[in-house]
Amino acid sequence: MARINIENEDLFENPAPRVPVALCLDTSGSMDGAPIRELVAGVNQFFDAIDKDEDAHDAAEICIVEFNSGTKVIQDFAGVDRAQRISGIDARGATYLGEGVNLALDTLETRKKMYSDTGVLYYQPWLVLMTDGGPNGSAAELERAVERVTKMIGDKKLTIFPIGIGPDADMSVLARFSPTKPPLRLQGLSFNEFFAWLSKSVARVSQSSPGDAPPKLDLEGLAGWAEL
Amino acid sequence: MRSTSETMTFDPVELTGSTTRMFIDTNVFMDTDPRHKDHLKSLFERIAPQIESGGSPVVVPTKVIDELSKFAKKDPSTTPAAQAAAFEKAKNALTFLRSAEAHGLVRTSLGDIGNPYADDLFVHLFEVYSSTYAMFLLTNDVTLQLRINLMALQLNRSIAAGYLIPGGHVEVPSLETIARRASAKLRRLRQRQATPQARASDTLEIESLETTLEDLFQEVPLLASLDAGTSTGARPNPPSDDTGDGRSRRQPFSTTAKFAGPDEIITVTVVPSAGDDILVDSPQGIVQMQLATKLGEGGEGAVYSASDSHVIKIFDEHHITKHREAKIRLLSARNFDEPGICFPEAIVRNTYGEFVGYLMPRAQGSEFSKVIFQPRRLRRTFPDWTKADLVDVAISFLEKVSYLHSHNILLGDINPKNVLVDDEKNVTIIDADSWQVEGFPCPVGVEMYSPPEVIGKRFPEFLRTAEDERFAVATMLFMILITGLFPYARSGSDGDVSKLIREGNFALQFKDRSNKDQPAGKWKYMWSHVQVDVKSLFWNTFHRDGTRYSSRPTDAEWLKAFRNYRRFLRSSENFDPMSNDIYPTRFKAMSPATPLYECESCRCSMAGIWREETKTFSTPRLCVDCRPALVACQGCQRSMAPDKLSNGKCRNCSLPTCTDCGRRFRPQAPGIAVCGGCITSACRECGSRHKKASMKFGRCPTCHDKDVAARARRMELDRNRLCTRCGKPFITFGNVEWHLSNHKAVPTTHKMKSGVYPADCVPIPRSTTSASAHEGVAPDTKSSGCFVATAAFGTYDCPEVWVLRRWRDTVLLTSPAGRRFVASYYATSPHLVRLVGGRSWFTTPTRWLLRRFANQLNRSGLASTPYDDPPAAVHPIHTSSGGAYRQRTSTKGTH
Repeated sequence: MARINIENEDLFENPAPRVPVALCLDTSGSMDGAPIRELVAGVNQFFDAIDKDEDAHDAAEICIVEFNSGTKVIQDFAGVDRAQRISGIDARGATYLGEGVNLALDTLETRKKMYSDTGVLYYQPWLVLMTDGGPNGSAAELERAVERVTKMIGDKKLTIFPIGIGPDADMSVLARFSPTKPPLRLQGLSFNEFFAWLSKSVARVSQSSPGDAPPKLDLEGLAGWAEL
Repeated sequence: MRSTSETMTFDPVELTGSTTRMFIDTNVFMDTDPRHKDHLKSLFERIAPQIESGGSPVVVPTKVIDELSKFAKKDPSTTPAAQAAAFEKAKNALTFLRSAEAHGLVRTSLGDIGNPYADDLFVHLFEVYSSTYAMFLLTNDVTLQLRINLMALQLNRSIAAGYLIPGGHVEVPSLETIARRASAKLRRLRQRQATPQARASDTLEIESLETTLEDLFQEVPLLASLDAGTSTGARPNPPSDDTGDGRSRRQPFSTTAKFAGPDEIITVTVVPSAGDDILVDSPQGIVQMQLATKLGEGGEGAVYSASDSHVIKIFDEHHITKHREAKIRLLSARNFDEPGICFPEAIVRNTYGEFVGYLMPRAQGSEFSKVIFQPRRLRRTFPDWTKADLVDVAISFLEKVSYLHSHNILLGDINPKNVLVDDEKNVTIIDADSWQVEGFPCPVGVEMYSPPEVIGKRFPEFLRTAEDERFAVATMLFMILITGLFPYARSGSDGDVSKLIREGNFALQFKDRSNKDQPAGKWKYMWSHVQVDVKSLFWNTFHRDGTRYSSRPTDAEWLKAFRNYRRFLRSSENFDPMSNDIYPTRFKAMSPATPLYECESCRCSMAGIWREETKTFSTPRLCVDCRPALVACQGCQRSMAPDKLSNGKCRNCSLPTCTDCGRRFRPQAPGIAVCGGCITSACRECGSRHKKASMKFGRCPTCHDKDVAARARRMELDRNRLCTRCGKPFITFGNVEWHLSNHKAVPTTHKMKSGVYPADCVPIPRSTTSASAHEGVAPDTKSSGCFVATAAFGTYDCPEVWVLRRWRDTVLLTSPAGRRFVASYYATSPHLVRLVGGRSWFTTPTRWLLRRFANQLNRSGLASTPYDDPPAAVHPIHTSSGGAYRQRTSTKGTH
């Protein structure tokens, strides 16, 4: 058997069922300045909120994938104890959205495999997709990403939150990723409100039991920050 | 105390004195029975003078007025005639009561405390005020008659309930009569419950009748005999006294109640919050108070502080429902007082009298999910706990659960947020409003604690069974002991809990049932140390092949097993000290004989591993964690310990290859390029050089083949030598060769060293010996010559005989006298040999003599080299001896 490293030991020493949350973030040039600062602050605040909630603390595992003219895993899946707060992201380049989503899904698959191998229970994973523009990466990659996401949603293997940032976000592309509910457009740069809502939702899910009907996400909570 | 068969009649005048209060129920005003016509009129005629002269007015509570008004408003044209008449009566009664109140005969201002049911209101009023007044209730409802008259008995108060009889008098039927009528009513309601005519209120009424009858029978056991087939008879499970310590017992709830149907939200005027006034409505009375600080908020409502010992749960508007109200009513009515179970003690109403929540004891401790089901937090919260403490928690949990079960209450939603534990290991059960009581289901549940048969059903839509509950109890016990591990957690799943439960693949190893899906981590060590009986019970309950998979263990069985576990931990049977740890770091030792030692590197505890092949314990120096990780050899890719590799290769892959055959070999000395098989060597027979690998026994392949052939020949019988005793071949070529090369006489018979002949050596009969011997030797003329010598030496070809034969042919046959001697010798010697040729007394001295003679001849010039007789020389007498001689001599020179 392969050597189990410390991180993995952490994984199965905690019997709580996990909520894997993949944040797939647009860090293209258009995000430079205030948007990226607010986004980073929002993500860090998300981590803090998860940390404070006893149930969410044990359950949530967060990964961050960025996409611009390339894609990168900024933070692989880890419990909030182990996850690093991000200090700052350079926003530059194009918007390889399809590639980004595919990387996020790959990272998710790897994590799910690890859960499965070690016998850790988990909830339906979440994918938070945020962009302020339209995709300009490979069209084939975009198609592949859309296909993968919609299939997983159809199989009830994924919950997606497609979020448009600002007026230039291509909502029609985001809509393709979300066959069951329309994407949401963030009002201004209210990342904090969104992430506060997201952490509350994670906490709510982690109080239920995996396999129970997915708890209804508190849509009323969305009113403050998003418009349909 | 009156006898149970005594019927009492009162003059109503007695019931309207200054210290007496008479009440009238709604149904009396709406009585349409023609036989009861004018009874009310007579009553008021009788009591009016008394009241007018300072007596107490008749009390018709506001609630009754409300009910009458409700009925009076109904449209009689849309209802059946009987009901329409009752509605008409209600209308009349209201008119009458208004004027009677104006005359001071009636009081209607009492009892507006918002009790939703007039029945309950009366009962409460009587309870509260019967210590002050003698009280009487006029009602036609047998349930209410029963409740009030039972209360009179229980509280020993001057109260009674009865009905009007002709002349305005009132009658209180005997307890027997009441019991009989109540039982009959109960039967009717139960029958109706199963039909479409069932009313929503039936369930409550049945419940109320059952409880009250039970209480009556407990109070007056004699009456129980009247009751065959109703309340007590309908209970298949009389409670067993599980608590066993003399605590007061309450009547268990019915187990036969049918599903109460879908729940409905009760719309209330206001849901109180902190600072608002509320009414706390307990069997002891109604108290008005202010809702204090909010302690917390949950999915169903909020919890407020009531006192140091009690809290109040107020439901939110989505969770104020009929079922919840009915359940709280049922539970609070019994005055349960069991430590560690937060029983509802009173109904909480808003100021409009509407049900909004309940009062319960304040729970102590923290949720299991926060302290036990998370190793990190358990270590932090209870750092000193051992396995025994967890076993105590499990026992405490079981005791609480079994108390509830003994009262036919199912918890339904057993989950780690509804069970609390304090640092004294006391378990507290909360969330009473979700319990399943009688026909009211537990509307919530957690999938992890749901048995396969329940998965997929909607919790509010069915009544759970005791068997369902046992699954949840077993799961909870397992998760207490293994601190949060879900029993069906296993590798290779996709996280679908319901699938895991339905599969029934309990993956932890039990006895010889190994399971490759065991979850990773230290859980397997924890499981391994669990006491074997408890382990067996778990395995059999959870694994689909287990014997208890479909008939799960009861509370009593678990209690027995866990109490035994606690005893075991303190006993000498518990031989492995690590079994006391909550988090063992290795598997349990196999037996008391197992060596326990420490890892040389990290000093962690280790137990010897039994090796069946050697019947010993192996004791590796290092623990699994300290053992270096296995590395793949760069050559053959097999995984092995790193110290077995040099330069990334295993020992085999590090060896040089033979320049000749290409195979790896271990060089005997440095610098050797070919393997042992490819080195050449000389054949010991022919001396030619060959690869060692192709040689056998030092011989080249050709010589080896020859050798094999020669060996085979040596094993063959020499068909030319026949046993002189039996006349059959008896000696191998190899044996002859040996005798000759060792200068020993070659044997002539089968006779063995011991002097015995083998069984198959059958002597030839003497009379025929000559003929057969002659026949046998005839073809070979050689052996017929020189008989004595042959007999003595056993062979015709040996140096001595060659010398003698040379002497015969070169000396004797050259003279007439010699020829005569030879002729006579050949004539007599065969006879001599036939007679004594096999006897050693003859052959041994003869051989000795002949050898001496032959040696003499040899010394005198006759060679002892091999000698071939000249043709026909064996019978020199019959041939031309001279020719033979000449021929022989002509060849002599060649020798």
